[in-house]
Amino acid sequence: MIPVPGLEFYITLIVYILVFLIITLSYNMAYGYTGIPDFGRAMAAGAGGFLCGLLPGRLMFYLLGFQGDYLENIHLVIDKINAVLSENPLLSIMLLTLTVFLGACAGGALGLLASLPIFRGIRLFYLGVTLLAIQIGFNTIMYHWPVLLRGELGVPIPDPFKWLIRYSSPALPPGVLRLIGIIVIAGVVLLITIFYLTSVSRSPLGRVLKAIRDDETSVAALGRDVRGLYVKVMVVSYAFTGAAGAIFAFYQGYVVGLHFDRVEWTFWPIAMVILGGLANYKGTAAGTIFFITLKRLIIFYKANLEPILPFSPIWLESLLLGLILILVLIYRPRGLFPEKPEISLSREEIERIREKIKRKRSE
Amino acid sequence: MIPLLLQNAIVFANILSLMAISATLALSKTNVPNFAVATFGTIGVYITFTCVKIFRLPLYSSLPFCLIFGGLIGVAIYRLMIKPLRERGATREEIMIATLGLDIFLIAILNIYADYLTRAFKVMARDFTFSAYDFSIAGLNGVFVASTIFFVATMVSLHLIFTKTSLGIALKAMGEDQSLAECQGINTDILCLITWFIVGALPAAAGVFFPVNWISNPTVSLFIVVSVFASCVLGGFSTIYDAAAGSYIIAMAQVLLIPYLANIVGVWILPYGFLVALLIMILTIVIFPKGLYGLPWNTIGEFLLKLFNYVKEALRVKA
Amino acid sequence: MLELRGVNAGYGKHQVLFDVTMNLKKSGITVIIGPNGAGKTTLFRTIMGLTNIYSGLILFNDYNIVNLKPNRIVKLGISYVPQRGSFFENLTVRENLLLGGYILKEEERHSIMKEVLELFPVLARKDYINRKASRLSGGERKMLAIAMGLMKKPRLLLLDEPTEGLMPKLTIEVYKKIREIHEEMGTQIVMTAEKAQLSLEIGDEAFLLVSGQIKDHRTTQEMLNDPNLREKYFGVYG
Repeated sequence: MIPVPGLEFYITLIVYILVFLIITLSYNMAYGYTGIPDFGRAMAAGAGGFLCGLLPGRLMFYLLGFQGDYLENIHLVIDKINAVLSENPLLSIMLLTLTVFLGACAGGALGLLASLPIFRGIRLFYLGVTLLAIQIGFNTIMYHWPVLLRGELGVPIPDPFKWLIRYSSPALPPGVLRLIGIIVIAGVVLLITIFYLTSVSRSPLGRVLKAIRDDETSVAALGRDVRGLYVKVMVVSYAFTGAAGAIFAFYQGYVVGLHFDRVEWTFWPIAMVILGGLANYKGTAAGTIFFITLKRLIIFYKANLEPILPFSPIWLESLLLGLILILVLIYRPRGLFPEKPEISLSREEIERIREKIKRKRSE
Repeated sequence: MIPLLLQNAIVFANILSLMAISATLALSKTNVPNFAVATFGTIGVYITFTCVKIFRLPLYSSLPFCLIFGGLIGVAIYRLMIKPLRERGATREEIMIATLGLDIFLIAILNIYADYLTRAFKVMARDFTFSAYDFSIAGLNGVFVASTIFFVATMVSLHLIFTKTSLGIALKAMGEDQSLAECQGINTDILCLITWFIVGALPAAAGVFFPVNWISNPTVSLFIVVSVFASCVLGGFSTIYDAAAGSYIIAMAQVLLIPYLANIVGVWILPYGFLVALLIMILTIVIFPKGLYGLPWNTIGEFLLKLFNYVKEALRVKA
Repeated sequence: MLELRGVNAGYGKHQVLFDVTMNLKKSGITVIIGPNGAGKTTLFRTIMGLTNIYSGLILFNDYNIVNLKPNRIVKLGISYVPQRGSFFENLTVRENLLLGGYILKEEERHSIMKEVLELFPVLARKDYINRKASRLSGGERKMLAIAMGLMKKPRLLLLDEPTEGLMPKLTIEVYKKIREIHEEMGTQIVMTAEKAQLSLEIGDEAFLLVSGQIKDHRTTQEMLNDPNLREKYFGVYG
């Protein structure tokens, strides 16, 4: 019997889509506009996500005046914090907003680091290698330094959606309201992202960014502050990703230093952006929705795939990711929805004007 | 007598060198930044595993199989992925992303293969070592002797190919300007295939030595890839000699320096071993981005000579 | 010897050559003149198989060479000396020359090198031959490029702007050398030139290429005497 996805599947799907839309759209801004394949992107999501494991728990720990060692009694402490939060919607929302905001700040700070002048002017390939390596180093420190996230044990995160359970009805599966809470906050951040992106792409800034990608020197020669713009794009893009990481950590309720790995948070987003088409928001969104749905369906039908596939379905995802990246780059390098060349006047119009000038000259 | 730790460091240096040479050749001759290079090594690990555990062959007799199969895989990757990408005019960044995809794909395949081995032959195909299969001569580990001999043989034969044959000069020319090389009548397609045979074969050969000293599984490449690229960057991504020199420096720092530091500051530092490689890489990029290759060796040589003469003079005056 | 029939070619979707038809007779130096961006370099690259050819035929001794790879075309006897980047900067002069004769057999390569070096004594000097090619001066670079082209013992030599960027004295020297090569070795030569006058003086027949189309084909003498062409394409430089 093939199972049919239920309400919970769809709601979780929406959570994933919203979180990854924030990430891919902001990634697209940085990659599509500056032409820099940023292989350290998982770091930005990690900055927000790990911050969730580090900050809100400790913050509440001190605010509520608990005694003793925080990390040693963490499960007990978080349970107590959650009890307080479930009584206190306002406090919950404040904690949530603050953490997501700080997650964005942490991401932005990393973006600032990644756009340091020492990384500029080096060959793009070196930049890719370096950012990738730094990201691996970042995850290693997060995982192996027990003071941060208790190493392989990981830490639980306070749940700012506990108070929603009060409004739940027996008709709804448990936990659905919590997911809806996450959808709301993810939706808000996504709207801010989209608002920022559309305002950028319509503004002179967007045009300048595209020009930087095509020819940096000429933009600088035209008197534009290339360096400043570059930093701005990197910081904003990393900040949105950081916020998305924080939201995802809240969704999981738990974070380990191994989370926010490069496959899930760098390579998949790159595949989504490439499949959609660079510097094209519609394409990126389509690519993201397509891939996320595919991935969730694979997880959902894992048990049904088991007998059909000659191998364990655990590997199906990375098999597909690798294949799709290669095939898209070979056959559809500009994505399913390629960026349209920007011609301010249509060809015919230009031809007509040319004719007119010619006629005038001959007169 | 060579201390065990130093032996291990040299084994690691040999392994890194083989991979770094492969990555350097791929970039300097065919303009492909190959992120999957460390996974090519894991392929070698599993070829060795198959030879040793399934076909019951002696450990080092799997070396020719690794060279041949690894080389053929390299050739296949060139034909099926790199060539179509280049024919449609892909940028170096796009090829770089494609090799990342290849890396993920190959790791998945290796995982599936490990599953298959476990199921079909009831062997432990993950987290294994081959230390039990190694021999020792005169107090030296077999893997130390074998990997060093193989490394030296590789260096000598590559050196001879690149400097003494017209194939070598043609390869050099292709690395500099492919279409101009074609206009000299050089069949760059065949040269690329030869290069990619070497690119695939060398890391696979390194896969014979790796599991003797270190625990191996399909994802082991994730931990080596940073060291490999650090070696290449330190070397300058230009010649095989610089790649080997870079590898030796990185391997010594990683295998000798970290345990030494652990004695002083505590064992907590051990998991951060590869951060040393990362640090060296970043410092290289910042301070001398062209790596060892780009250093002004003439000036340095003259300076050292002057220093040497000066010291000699001073000593003589003293005497 | 070489014949183009209705060739349309370009880079990707960007078409540069439009219906180019030309027939190069045996023997003689052919000059292709035309303004900047007319497609002279693209014409050579098309012959060598380095562009996308949409339609048309390119016949070399009645053998269609469209869709052949450059290394095959070289083996048929066409040698191409690009305008820029015509040799390998990081290799020595000797290595460059030997690469130029890559298609020849080992012994033949060395005997040809001797012949070629006799034509270009400046490259044969002891301190030059083992010098990195990137250290050569402008005139020597052009000489090396042409020498590399000759190393293939070509039947047809394509020279793209052999005197670009050279001072007038050197320009005349290079053109003399080209004439010498043609007369001594009997190699058929096609060259492009923006400084049209001098090249026309040593050439036999000429084509005028404008906006990717052949607009004129006459002997060089006739071209030189055409005041209309003179004003339009020869420029102040003469």
